[in-house]
Amino acid sequence: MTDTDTLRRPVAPGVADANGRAHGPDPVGDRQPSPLDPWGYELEQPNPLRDERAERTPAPCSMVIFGVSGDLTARKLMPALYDLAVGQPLPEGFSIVGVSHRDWDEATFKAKMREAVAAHARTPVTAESWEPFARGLFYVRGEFDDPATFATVAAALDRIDRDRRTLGNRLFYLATAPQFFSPIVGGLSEAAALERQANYQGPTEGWHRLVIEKPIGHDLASAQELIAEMSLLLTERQIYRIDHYLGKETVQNVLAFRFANSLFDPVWNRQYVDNVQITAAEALGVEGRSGYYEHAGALRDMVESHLLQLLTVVAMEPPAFFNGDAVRDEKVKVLRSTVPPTGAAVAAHAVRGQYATGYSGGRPVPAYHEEKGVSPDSQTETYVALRLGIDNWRWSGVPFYLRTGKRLPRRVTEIAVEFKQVPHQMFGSIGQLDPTPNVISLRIQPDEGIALRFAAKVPGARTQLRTVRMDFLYGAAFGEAGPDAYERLLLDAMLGDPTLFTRRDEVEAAWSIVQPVLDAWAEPGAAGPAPYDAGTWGPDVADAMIARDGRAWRRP
Amino acid sequence: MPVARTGGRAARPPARPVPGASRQAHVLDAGAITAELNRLWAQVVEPGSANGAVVADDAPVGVLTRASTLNLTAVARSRRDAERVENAVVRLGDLYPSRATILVADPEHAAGPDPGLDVRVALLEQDAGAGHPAIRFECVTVEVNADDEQQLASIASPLLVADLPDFLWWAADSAVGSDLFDDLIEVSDRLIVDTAATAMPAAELVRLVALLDAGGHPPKLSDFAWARLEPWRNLVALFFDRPEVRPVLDAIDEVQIVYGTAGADGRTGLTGALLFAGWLGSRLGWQAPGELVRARGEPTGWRATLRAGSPDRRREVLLTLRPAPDPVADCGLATVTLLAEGGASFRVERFDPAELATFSQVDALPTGRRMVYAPVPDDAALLADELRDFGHDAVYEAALRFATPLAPG
Repeated sequence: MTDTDTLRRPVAPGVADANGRAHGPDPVGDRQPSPLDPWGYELEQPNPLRDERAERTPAPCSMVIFGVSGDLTARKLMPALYDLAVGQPLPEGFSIVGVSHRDWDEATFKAKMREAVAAHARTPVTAESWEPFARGLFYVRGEFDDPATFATVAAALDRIDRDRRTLGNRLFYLATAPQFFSPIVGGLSEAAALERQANYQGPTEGWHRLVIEKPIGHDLASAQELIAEMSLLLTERQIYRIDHYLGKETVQNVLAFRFANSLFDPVWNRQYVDNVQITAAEALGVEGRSGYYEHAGALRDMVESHLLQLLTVVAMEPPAFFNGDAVRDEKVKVLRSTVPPTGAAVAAHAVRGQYATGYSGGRPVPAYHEEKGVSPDSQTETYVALRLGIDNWRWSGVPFYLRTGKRLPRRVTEIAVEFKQVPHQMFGSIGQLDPTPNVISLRIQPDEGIALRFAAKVPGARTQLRTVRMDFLYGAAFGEAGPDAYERLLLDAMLGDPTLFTRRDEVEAAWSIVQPVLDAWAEPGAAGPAPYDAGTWGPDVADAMIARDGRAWRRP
Repeated sequence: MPVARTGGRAARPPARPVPGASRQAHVLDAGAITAELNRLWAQVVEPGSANGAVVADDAPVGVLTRASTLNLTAVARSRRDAERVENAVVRLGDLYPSRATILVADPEHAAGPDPGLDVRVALLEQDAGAGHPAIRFECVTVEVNADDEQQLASIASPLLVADLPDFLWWAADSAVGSDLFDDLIEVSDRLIVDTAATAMPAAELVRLVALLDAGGHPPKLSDFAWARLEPWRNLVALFFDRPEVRPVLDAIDEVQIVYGTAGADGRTGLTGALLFAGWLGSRLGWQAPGELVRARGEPTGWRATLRAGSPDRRREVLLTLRPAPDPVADCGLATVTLLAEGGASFRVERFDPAELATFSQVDALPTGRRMVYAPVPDDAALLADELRDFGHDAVYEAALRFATPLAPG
């Protein structure tokens, strides 16, 4: 027996444990052994009255939201928490402390939150369901650079721990601009509200966790700096970096599609796949986010985070387990194998564009540089197309085309895996088959689902073929599209499950892919973004880029 | 903080008939029903995709959404039960079956002079939310006189849409023991019953265990009586989530369960109370040496002594079950109380139709009192939850096996 075996062995039924406490016989014959942390140490005995089929309930805890008066809280966080509270068990005593600079009192805060929930939650607000939720809402007014703010937060948390028995478990959510991340974490540490905890922490008592939104830095160096700064105050296990794409049911379903079916893996490789196209198109323009967007651009805003996340789920190797480190190890491996264009190749394999005037949904819309808050000579890209390669056994030689843009014809996010043509066209010209190959398209939004395109015979005496589509629609098969991504991610953070969050090495690997492109675009004399008419699928140079490979963009 | 899932999601408006897409007829066989459904779809189909179907590649996505979820076959033995089923089916809220087939074997149904079946077919639709097309599904009601019940089995199987999970909801008295049941269970993946609604609840539990033990591929079981316990189980489990309270589980020496007897149609909470005791017993490794007996001095109450602990440290747990005709408890539980050596006590209580109250008293911890939003779920809420369940519920099956020997004959 190895040391690991000793650690793994749960206390035998009917035998007194080290504390002299006798355990009953195994109740249903399959009582789960104690959970193990990744290093093999046994966690405490689980509650025998909890079972896997029951809803997952986090330990009692409080959540502190910095920037609680902002858009993210109103549109996403508070509605998700309310939906969780009504539809799924949240722990006893769960409390929310909202922090912002607004001069609100608790009643105003509750009224604002109720308004936000009524507007954006899936579940209608009723007095019976709102009241118990609202009893756990508290407000702290303060500036993020004022030590008094954090002292007040710390005092509020201590009081909540006492009054509502939240056991010292705390989830801090920074729904703020990134420049406040460090001051807030520093302030909380100073006030001893947020403590650095060992990499391994017991599951129920006194955990402190931090959730931060992208962007993590604005380039590789600043991301590394922010990560290093945070790591002085918190351990990696305490930091949950949200990329809400990973909370989407359809993104998680890509993993189920690939790894819970035996049908697809045999063809999911360079032998059968011709290319992969990942598209995240938006019909909207910059819509009041120009302050942020002018400095970010599409490459930082979408590619570094969401599109590379989609690339990892479609290209990763099967993890041994569906748990935090196993899944993220595989994602990091893919990112590290991804070869970005560098130097002169950037011009050939990376395209940036900016929307000009045009029509969106039949309505005339202004050019990007005419939008409010945007510099008239802005060089910010609102469209990016990239050709990436993945240098590993499975994908060597298969191009991955990524594109994202604003003011494209419609809002759609999809991953399309295009397969190679059959080796011999048996039907030849009599078949009159159009040369479209088999495609599996994984639609992330809207019309969530999976479609398979293949050839079929047109009914009739002639042997005529055409491509048809077989569709699986999420909405039809399950009646609903599932919970909002934030519901899943907030619950996971409370449960301490980091699987769907981004680890620091993942963040660094993702920045390493886009950094050479950022560098090349920042070179003096580099060509600026190519204009494209609003309401079209992007600049002509993007079409030319893929056409050089003998391929064309899909119309998603 | 609210904790109940069952019934917690606020109701959407009921599904409504697609205009012009319903028919009533006297037909001879299932083929005629399928043909009629196809005619209805042809009338209402907009050009576009049908889920799971092969459609033209250039068709727009998602114009029509036809549910491709599961088959639901429901059996009722009276018009009233049939209405209850129909009412639940149109109020499922989120997850609709592709085809709901309601089989009614009603002793009062007047058989016509011609052979055949009285059938109603309809397409129904439910809004799927802003920006999504409405979900459409089929509802078929077949009525015969109870004497012709066996005809129904031959209808049900051909009406199942291929390649979907098949759910059988037995919305009549005892599920087990009729030829119709035997035929339908053969083609079903999951059986949904409400043991609270059967005339002889204890016997029903025994029959369900026999069904599980029958060999082959036993059906997966769902029991509304068990589903009603979900918030109760959750709240009792919550007491022991705190590690320092967990040792008290090994010192519990008394369990008192009060159950409602005021459910509609005579439904009672007796099976719920038995299953709750079964859940505690099976999870905590207790043993039930014999059936419940009448409690001394209480003509309506029951008690049993359970064994707990290890062979060298045996202890007894007194279990009492008591009925209470409390309208608020309906056919669920009214209170659950756990008492432990050393004076610790835990109680969950139905406070009103929407809320449960919890109380706990443990040494060295402040007394805990809490109100929890957990409305009594109706049939539609219960059915909606069960239709999401595809696997065996090992926890329920263990509770059922534990409860069965306790059930008074």
